[in-house]
Amino acid sequence: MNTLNAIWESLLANLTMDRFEADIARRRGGVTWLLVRLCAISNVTLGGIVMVGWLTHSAAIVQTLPGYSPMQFNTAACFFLLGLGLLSVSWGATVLTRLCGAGVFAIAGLTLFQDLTGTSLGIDEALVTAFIAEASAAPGRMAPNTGVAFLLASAYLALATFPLHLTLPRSLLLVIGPAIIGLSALSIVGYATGLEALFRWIPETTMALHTAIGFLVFGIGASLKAWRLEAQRARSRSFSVIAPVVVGAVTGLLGIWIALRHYESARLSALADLYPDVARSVVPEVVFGAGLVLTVIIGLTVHFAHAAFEARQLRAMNSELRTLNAELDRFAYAASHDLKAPLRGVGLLASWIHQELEPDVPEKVELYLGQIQDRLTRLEGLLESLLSYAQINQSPRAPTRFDVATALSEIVELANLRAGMRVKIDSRPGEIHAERGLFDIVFINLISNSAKHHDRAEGEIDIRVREGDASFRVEVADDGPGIAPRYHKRIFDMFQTLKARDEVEASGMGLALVQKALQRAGAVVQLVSDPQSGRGARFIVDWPKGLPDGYRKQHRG
Amino acid sequence: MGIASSIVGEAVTVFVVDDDAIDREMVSRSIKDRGLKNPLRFAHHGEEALDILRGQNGQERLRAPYLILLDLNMPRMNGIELLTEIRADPALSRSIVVVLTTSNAERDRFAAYDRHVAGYVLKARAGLEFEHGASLVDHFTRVVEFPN
Repeated sequence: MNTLNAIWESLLANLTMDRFEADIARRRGGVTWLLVRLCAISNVTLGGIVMVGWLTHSAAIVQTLPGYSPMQFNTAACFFLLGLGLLSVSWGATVLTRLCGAGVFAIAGLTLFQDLTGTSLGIDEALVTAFIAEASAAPGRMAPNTGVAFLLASAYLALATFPLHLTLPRSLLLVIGPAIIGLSALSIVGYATGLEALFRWIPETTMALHTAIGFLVFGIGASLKAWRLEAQRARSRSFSVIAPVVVGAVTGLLGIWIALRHYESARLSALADLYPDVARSVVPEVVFGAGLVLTVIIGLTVHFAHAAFEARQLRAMNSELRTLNAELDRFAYAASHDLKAPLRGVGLLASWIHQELEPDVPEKVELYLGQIQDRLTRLEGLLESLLSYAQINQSPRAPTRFDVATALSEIVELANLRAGMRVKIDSRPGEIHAERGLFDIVFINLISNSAKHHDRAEGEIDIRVREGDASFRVEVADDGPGIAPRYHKRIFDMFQTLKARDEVEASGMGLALVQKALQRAGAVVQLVSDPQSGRGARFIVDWPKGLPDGYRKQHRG
Repeated sequence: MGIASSIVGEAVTVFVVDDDAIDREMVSRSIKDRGLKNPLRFAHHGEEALDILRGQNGQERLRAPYLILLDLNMPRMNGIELLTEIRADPALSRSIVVVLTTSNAERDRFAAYDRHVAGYVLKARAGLEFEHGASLVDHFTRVVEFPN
């Protein structure tokens, strides 16, 4: 029994590609996982070292080079929290992630509030005193571009704690990572080219070089994590490719625009003495606008290319699925012949042994031969039901329209219940559009189960049909012993019986068949039964009147 | 005339083509149990059966009249392949074949009847000891006119 179970399970596992795909995803996820944590740890380290630099008054750490902007203490604290937050995202520690996000949000938000209102809340030098003289309006205050980047980062941490199935948070995560990379890249390019406007948004304060690098690292980690989350979803979206491309392009354009304007104002001031009324050129804006149009075109191209790629992949997967289905079909066929034939053979041999020993068959031999036949019958039944289970998804029968009440009374007839079982059907005529075979599997099994597991000689099965807007509710209720709630889930698994097989001859496959047929039909079943409060079990099936969504797509061919 | 030929003529040979020794034994036991006098002949797969039907490759040719009880799933040449050969060979094409198999697959039934079998019998339905199968053979060989 266990071997058969194991063979079957492994066969199913091989035939479903989930395992295989999960394997690949895990391996691919391993590298990403490592990189995300490396980025997070770099941020924590950076923040930590700079904070220590402030406390020990080490200009080399805080400022890197004389004359460069220092990374403020608050900035360092934010980096520390940011890195910790990203780490906790990869740990799945929701509360810690939110705490870190809130901390960063508070510091960066209050700083920007000060910038916008021109007030001082005293947070700039709350923890340390600025010891490096800088041409700054407010000593110890982080630059506004730093503040904006931190706000984005704190939003990232908050969004990362949302449930994965929500599309909007995942989409925003995909945008924020690249946006932070863009902001930091602008500053780094500014440092590299000497174009201060790229890292100096307001005259007084600038984003320090190591701050920019810190953001770059965080942005990379955050983007990787966002892609990873996206990749865990079943359907890939073109958005996950387009978002970084568009954000990157827009950031680049912003840089070009700032550079061109800078060049323009330099030109204007050079010419101002000679030609005071020369007009400002619109070249920067034209370039920016043209770039945006180009970005949109690129985005659309990527979208359609992705859609085409997806379609091709889907076709490939479909053909693979067809191959697998054909394989399962061959298995079912082989099982019907190759496994049953030896069984029959053993049965025949047992009965010939009996015949050869007649008329004086020893009592024990008689008993043993009888038990061999019983077990063989059981194994044959198991094979039969395994076959039906395998074949539920095979060679789909065309859905037809049929009357529920008529179908149910035909099924009761077919179920051929034992004497003493009375069946009442309470149903008005109503038409359903479904695969009749699935409908039969579900209700034959439910009805004959009720009879089979009834503990008394006389029993009653009540079948009621109620028509809803979109579905029929069919209840199959009996007055048998009932099923304890702790078994309600388990009875739908394969090979589960609640009584020894010698007591009730059952394969344990009936409700597994029901479950699989319901799944295919888009129907659901609930079980209401509790032997402690009363006798009987009531299976409630909600069967859609029409075919389930995506039925045609899934079951064509 | 028909009845006369059946009575006077030779008993119909039951030609069992089956790779399973137990199934061959089942057929011969049940036929003997029923007291039938039909000669029996056996083949283990389609190729051997074809050799026996044609009297080739060192096999003695099976003499008519005969009734073929044919299993479908066999090594080397399966039942459907053998049927195709039989129907394509003018010397054999009138053979009376009853399929005797465990397979209840629709495609097997269709493939068999497409090749004009006289019947399609599931081993599981032929009685635990093939007693229904034996009575089918009994009636068939006594009541039905053979082509030769």
